[in-house]
Amino acid sequence: MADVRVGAWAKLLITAQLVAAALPLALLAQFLSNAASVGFAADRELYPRDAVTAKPVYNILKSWRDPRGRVIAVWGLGDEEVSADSEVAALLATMASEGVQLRICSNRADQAVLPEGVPIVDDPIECAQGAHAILLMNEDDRFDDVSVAEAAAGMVGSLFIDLTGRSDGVAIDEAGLQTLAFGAQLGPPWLDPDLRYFADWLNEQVAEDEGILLVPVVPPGTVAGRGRWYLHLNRLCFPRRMYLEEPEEASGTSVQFRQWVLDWRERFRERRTRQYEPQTRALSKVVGSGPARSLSAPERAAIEANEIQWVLFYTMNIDFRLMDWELMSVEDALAGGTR
Amino acid sequence: MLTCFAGLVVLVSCLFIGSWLLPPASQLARSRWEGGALALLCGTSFVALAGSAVLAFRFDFNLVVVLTLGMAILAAVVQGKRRREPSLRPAPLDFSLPALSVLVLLGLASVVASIALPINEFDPMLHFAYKGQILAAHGSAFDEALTGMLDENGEIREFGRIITHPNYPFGVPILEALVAKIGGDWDARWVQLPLAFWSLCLPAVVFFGMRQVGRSAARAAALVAACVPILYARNIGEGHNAWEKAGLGNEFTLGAGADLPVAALLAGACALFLHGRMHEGPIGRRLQLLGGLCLAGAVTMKNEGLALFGCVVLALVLSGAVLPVGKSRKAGVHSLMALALGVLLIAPWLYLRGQLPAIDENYGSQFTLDKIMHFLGGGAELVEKAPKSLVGQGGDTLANPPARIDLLPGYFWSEFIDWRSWGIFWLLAAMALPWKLRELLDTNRRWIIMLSLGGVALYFLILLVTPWYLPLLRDKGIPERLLLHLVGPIAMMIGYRFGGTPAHRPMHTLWAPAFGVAGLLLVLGPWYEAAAFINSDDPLQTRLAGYQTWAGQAAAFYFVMGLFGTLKSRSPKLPIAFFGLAMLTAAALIAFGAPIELPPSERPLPKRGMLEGAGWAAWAALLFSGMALAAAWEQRETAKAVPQG
Repeated sequence: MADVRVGAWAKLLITAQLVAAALPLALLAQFLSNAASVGFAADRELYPRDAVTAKPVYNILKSWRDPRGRVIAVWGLGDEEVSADSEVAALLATMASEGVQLRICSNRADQAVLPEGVPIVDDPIECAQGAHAILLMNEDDRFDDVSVAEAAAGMVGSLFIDLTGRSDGVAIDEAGLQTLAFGAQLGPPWLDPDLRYFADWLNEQVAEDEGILLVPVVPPGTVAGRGRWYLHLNRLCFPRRMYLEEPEEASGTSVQFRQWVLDWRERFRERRTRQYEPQTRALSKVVGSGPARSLSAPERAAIEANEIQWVLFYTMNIDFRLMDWELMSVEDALAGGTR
Repeated sequence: MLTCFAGLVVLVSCLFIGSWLLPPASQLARSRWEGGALALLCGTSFVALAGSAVLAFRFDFNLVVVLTLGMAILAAVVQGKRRREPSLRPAPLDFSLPALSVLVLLGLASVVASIALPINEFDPMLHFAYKGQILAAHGSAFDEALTGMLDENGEIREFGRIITHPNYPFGVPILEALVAKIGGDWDARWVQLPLAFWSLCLPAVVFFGMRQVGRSAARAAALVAACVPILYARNIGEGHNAWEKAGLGNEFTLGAGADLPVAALLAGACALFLHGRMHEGPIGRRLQLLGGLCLAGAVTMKNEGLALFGCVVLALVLSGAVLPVGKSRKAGVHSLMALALGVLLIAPWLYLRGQLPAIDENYGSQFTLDKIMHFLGGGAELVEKAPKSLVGQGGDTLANPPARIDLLPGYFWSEFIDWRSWGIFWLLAAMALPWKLRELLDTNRRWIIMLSLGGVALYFLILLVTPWYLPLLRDKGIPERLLLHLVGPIAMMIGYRFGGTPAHRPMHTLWAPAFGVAGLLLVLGPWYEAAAFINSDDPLQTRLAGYQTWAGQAAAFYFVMGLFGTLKSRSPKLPIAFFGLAMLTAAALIAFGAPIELPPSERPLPKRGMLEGAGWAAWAALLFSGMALAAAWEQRETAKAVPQG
């Protein structure tokens, strides 16, 4: 094998490419250090948290027909310092200007940057007393261990508004509160602890050789890929058989999925089904959301044809909420809430 | 921990099988670095191909376990015997200390990073690992979990099972399922173990491929390949939170995805072909056959592997590397044998693929000349596939859709200058392109160049006709994730520039490839015409067929002129000039020429199609006679120039 003399300019260029190796080396070092910090487990806390913005303020206000006079307990003012021109200050100011009564529990609250007359409360449970909603912006991890059930006991409303994307959905559901997640979700969908919790529960309820029919209760409300929770449930609950209407579009590319959503919206107009509240909910403690519906003729036929034992009703949402999922035996689902 | 052990068992099994397939170290000099990498690539290809065949023939997946472990035990016994034979000492690698440190650090870190987390990406998790779970649990590719979207007549069911891309290749799922099956459980971390070594292997096989070219060339190529950032992640350090998100998100290349296996196996195939072609006798044949195995292995990893298979075939054919004449007659025959073996090996997978539900993009049906011409001619972007227009917010874009051809070159260019993903890889690649005609005299260099350029061109054309909204694909890391597949051959092309020995061969060795390209042009026109006339009622297609006929006939004229000129003058200048003229005329006719327009009533009958088919066959015969004639001429001239003995 010959060894040819390499010119200086060639050496220089190869060296330049060698220097480029610093980028992947630094990235791999950072990645391994991040992974080590969570015990090399796939955990959503690996992902950087997005700062709270004022963007969702109108979604929050739309949670009530008339937001005036509603009391909102604000838990934390975000992970960053709050200044007069910060997003958090803007969000609070807008809510206050719309007549919402704010009550703030924060170590960072500075009266100078808060709307006038807003009380600052030290204890989060006390802060939630008599509130219509809790608004979680958190401060690092300060509110992670606060008992939502205890706070809910003193509330007059049942909303838990999460702008952090990392609230404990299971605890909130157990307290009977409805989560409204308006912030960016933390981490990818398959790492959502609520999804994992629900999948584990589902695996306990359904035998490995049984089949489940997934039935949307209302027309899908989102075309965001994150709403495709059925893909992850199908994998996490394997080998249980999960069936879906028009599965090739639902499982296809994001463009096909969007078409599936649009088709479903059309289909709902044609199928006259009745939404209802089961007498007792299988897992969720949230009541009054109408998590099930009567089955259409094609759905009944599919149950027969595929030897399906369970029906899993769901409402599509970007955030995985236990309240959106209702498991029923085929017999109960066919009875359509009359049993 | 049992699954971790199972991962090691699969890894070691692949290594043993691969080592057995490779020529013994007593007959082929190589370092342990190269040998290990080659063995792993050959072993994983073997397992993936054997697994696909087992599944295609409807045997239970347990047979794959038995085959793999059985072969590994047999291989271990053979290896034990081989160890007693004296090994050939390879020439030292001679990397400088900084270069060696970078190679070792990158290699080790890539392995650790690949298994640092359980599978944590959408595609690897749902497109591949879920299929692995099905194979491990149910043992069949025909289980309802995979095929349950279709009814017994192959029609889409109204209610069916959920699965993403059911007909994606099974290479990655097979390797993962093997670990789960042997370990008795599915562990999303350890099933990745056999998939953690692609980035470590790629530079090693590039070095092996370039060994015969020169040590400087081999070192340069291996280093350039190892240091390409996209081998580990893309867009490194770009954007907000970049370092906090290091290794998370689909910008991370390592892990259980399929792009890296395709890149590594294509690099392995090229290396084995290249080394094998420069090695006389049975060793060369064996290496090339293993090249065919790795090439087929790439097909079982990702659909793009099939397109790249075609690219390698075209590069070898058009470069004249497989012509069974001349000085490198045996190498050419061995290359043909290897390609035939590759076709044979992928056949079971292609059969299996045909049995599985196809629910998404079918690039085969998109890749037609009229579609290419449509978008090249300024065809509008498919804005109706844009997410915003689907939800009713894309009115402006819908009214004034941009031409796709205005977007696509910019996407490629932005990758070529993206140092965060590529370093200066593309600058080096541009410098490695042939500057002088003389640089194309080496057949091996020629086919590596043709493969590199052909690969980029292929991906450009694929994206030109993609049925999806191009900006959406751009968001998902296209075209860089595709260009990654070509790192191996392009690094070899760079190696030739930075350390290859200049070829001292007569200029007329270029005749065969020149005729090859000209002939292809000739074949394409009439073939397309025949296909369009037979299959289409679309006036646009008949119009395009007309253009093609004109272009083909003009090219034919110059081709024949060039052939006579060549034989008379014995100079390469004349055929090259005529070839250029043929191309120019064809391009001018396509751009400005008058089409043949046939009214529907006069549309030819199938009989006419058969005539066109016969014409196509005649052109093909002419092409191959031309190539053979040119090669025979080359042989005679070479014999004259370099007296034998």
